[in-house]
Amino acid sequence: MNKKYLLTLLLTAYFATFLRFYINNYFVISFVGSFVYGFYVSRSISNSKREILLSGFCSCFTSFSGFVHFLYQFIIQGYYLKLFVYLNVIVILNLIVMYIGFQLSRKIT
Amino acid sequence: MELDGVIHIVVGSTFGLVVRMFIKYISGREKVFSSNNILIVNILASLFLGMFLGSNITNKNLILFFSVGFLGCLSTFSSFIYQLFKLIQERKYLSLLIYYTEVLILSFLFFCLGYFITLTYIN
Repeated sequence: MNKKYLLTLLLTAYFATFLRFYINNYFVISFVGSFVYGFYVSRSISNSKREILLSGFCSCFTSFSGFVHFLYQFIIQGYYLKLFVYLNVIVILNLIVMYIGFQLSRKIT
Repeated sequence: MELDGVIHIVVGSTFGLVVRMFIKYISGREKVFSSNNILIVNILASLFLGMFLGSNITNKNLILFFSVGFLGCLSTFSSFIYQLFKLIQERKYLSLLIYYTEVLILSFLFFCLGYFITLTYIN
């Protein structure tokens, strides 16, 4: 683990955090993150680059706490059916988006 | 956004990234955790989010530091989706269902734990 790698990881994480802060729309953030993750997860890139992209950019861009916070809005309003539907719809849509990214990266190479 | 908020976000995201990398590093080396670092990180983040929402903080810089910076960089949603995706690829549908319910129930329980602890002890 050298200095340049660590610095790039930190800068990528800051970039992802500010991008998430400015977009501020939960659906867009999670879809973009899942797409990028699926696109790059099986590509033949070097190990440190993959670590920076997946563990630095995607993981800081999408956040599970944002997902829980989004669902918390429904709990305090008392919409339990809406909570259940949104919960499953978000996960299934993200899986589909990741599958699209995965197939696209396979087609290109 | 002024400089003060930017500094808070940067410091918070550094902390989150370091904690996540530390948990990943430990769970890869030792046999203490059963190598599922993403589950640990997400549950920890929902516990902290519950404590944060229960304590009812209104300071703007503290929200930027904790909610946007620290928790956003600590927890990861796309890796969770990738774990589910990998289970689908291996055609393990039963373990997919078990893992999915496990994550949701555990994170909900820890969220409630943090929320009610801070509600009873702070307010």
